[in-house]
Amino acid sequence: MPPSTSTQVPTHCRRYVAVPVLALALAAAGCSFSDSSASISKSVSSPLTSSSESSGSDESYKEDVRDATAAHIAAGGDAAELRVRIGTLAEEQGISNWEASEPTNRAIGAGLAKAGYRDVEVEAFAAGFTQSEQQRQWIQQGFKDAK
Amino acid sequence: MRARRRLLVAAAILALPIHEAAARPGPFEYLYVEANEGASSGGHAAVRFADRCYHFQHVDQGRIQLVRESFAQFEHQYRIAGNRAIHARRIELDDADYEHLQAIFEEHYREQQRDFALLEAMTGDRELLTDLARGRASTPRIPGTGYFFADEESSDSSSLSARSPAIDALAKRLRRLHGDETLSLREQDVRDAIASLAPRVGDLPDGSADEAFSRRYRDHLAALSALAVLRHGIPARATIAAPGDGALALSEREIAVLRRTRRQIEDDLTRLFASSRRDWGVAMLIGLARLDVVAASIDTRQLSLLDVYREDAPVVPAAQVRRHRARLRALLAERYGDVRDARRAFFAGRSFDESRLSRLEVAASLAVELDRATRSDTDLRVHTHGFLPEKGAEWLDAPRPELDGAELDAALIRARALETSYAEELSRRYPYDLIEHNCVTELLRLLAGADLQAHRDGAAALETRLAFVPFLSSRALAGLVGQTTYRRLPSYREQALMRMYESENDALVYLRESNVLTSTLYERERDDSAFFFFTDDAFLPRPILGLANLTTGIAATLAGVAALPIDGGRVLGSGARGALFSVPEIGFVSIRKGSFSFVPRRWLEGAEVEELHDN
Repeated sequence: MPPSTSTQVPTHCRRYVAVPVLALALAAAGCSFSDSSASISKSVSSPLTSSSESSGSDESYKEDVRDATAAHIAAGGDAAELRVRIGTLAEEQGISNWEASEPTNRAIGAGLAKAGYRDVEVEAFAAGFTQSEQQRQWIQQGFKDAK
Repeated sequence: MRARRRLLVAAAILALPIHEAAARPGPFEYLYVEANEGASSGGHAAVRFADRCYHFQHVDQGRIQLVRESFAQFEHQYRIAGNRAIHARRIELDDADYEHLQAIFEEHYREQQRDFALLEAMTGDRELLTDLARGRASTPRIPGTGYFFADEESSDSSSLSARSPAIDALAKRLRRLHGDETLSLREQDVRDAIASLAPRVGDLPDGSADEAFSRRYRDHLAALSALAVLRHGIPARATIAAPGDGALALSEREIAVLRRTRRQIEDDLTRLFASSRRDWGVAMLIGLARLDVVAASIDTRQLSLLDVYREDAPVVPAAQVRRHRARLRALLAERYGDVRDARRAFFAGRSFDESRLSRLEVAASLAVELDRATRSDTDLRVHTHGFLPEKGAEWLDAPRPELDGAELDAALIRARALETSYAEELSRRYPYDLIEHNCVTELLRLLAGADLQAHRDGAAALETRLAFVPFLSSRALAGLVGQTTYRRLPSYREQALMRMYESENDALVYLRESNVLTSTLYERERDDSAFFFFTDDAFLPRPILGLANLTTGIAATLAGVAALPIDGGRVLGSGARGALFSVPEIGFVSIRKGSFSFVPRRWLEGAEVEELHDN
């Protein structure tokens, strides 16, 4: 007996019966619910869902930091708020000490470039934002690379 | 003020130059997920930007929240664990629209994260003030402290005899740089800050969760704990030995990398000590634990890592571990593969990358835990948080803010009122409603509001013309935006059956896999309803099979009534849901498909994907 998946059911048949029954199903449970059983199956499966995710600081993280920095600058936010925002993004990535993270600080520099900063503005920003010479250099390198 | 800030940020994002964007990393797709029983029994919907998915989920208190995860995680959750096929409809966007749309989803996600974090902080404030008013002796768990202290152990642990040479060496370096009394002076500063700590409850709605009273108190306690670790040279606990068959040993090259890592961590922590970050304590605790573990790995030439599980991690009960042991052992092979990948990535880095170490810790912790639980038939801990190791401990008799009874009572009243009003505000801002505000309607609102250049007319009509039902939304979307490419990604069971049909007798496979009793694919899951026949791959006999399932559900319900005093209604609930989801089958519609929580993701590899064009 050949397999018969639900997509092989005649479309007109499905349409007539599907709507009222789906309404019943929706009434029973509605949209996806963020419940504990879902998180258990999800977590047993591991948050590392591909080998590329095992390799750490990925491109999308750097883009997030770059875009968050650029948006923050454009909105006129202060350094303290930006630190909180970068800290949140870094935590999600598994970085507790983001001030010592080269990819993070280079991405901040790229964000300054995206926001249209000039060299002199980057220097002023770095002077007020960074905690070390190393961090300042990473930000400036990230800015130059993205310019 | 807050609304104005939102507008400013949104306007800033939209005003940013988009011509600098890199080439688009992948397609934009609208995903419709087929129905199954349980959560989202009416189906589900999401959007995909390359490897990243956004979808709305119904959360507690009748709210709906945007979730962001990788497509691989989404696929595992719905295609494997949920056993649902995914219909992916690719929509052509130019680069400008693509980036614009992704920025809108990302900003909505971040805005909600901030809002819900603020509510969580308010709840934390109310709970802390309640504890202080009642004189509760111990604190909530402080992230990072679990690597040095057990629950309710004082961080004034001068009685501890063992010392960590690596942490002692760092403390010596800090004293050399900042003076002999630097640790005790810093400790006094923190104690003074705690004593003068006062709730700023009224400021929170316009502020940040990090400014919350409970968060500032937590940060100070973490700093105090880190200083105690430095002063007493307390060695890390809660560590694991990295798994692998004979792969524990470190090569000379890996030891060289660890020596470099140790120096880098020492440098980073030295700078962190001088940093103006208020939340430096948690980062310092994690860094100190890693410093000690890295040093121990070099000394023993065996890789050790931090155990990432929280103290209060939920568990898969031992009975379930026993039931699914064979499948979990298959999953273990995949976990070891993750460890190998993460280990390779960490040791290949040209400089220390904290995120790579975090991933290695997570991969190793999951593998060791799964190995242990399946060998000993005990509870399996579940990892529910991000990549950072945040094992916490409660602190007995921690220093407290010096607030008198009247101040505490007044602050508690304000905190309760603020939490209640903000919770109501979020319920109004992000309401869940079965028809008006569900996983489909909210996605479409964001799409419709994006004002895409290429689909301006269609997108504008989305909000008014589309139904709220997921599969209708996918179809209607295609009608509005024009030509789309459409793929159907089969569910796990469908795919596994296809493989069986290729290599075995069709009739035999069908008969064997048609029911829960003889199926080799399906292992009964705790949360699945009572049923006997699978009906998703049987159209014509579906009503008859549905009647049999209805009978099974009714029988389980009756048995559940008898078992009510023993099992708390578990069988009764399973039977009632079994009967309910059998009714559509009598009308030729299959919703229930069973679930597969413990299947390795590699079992999806090589899936046959149907490519269709329906416009």
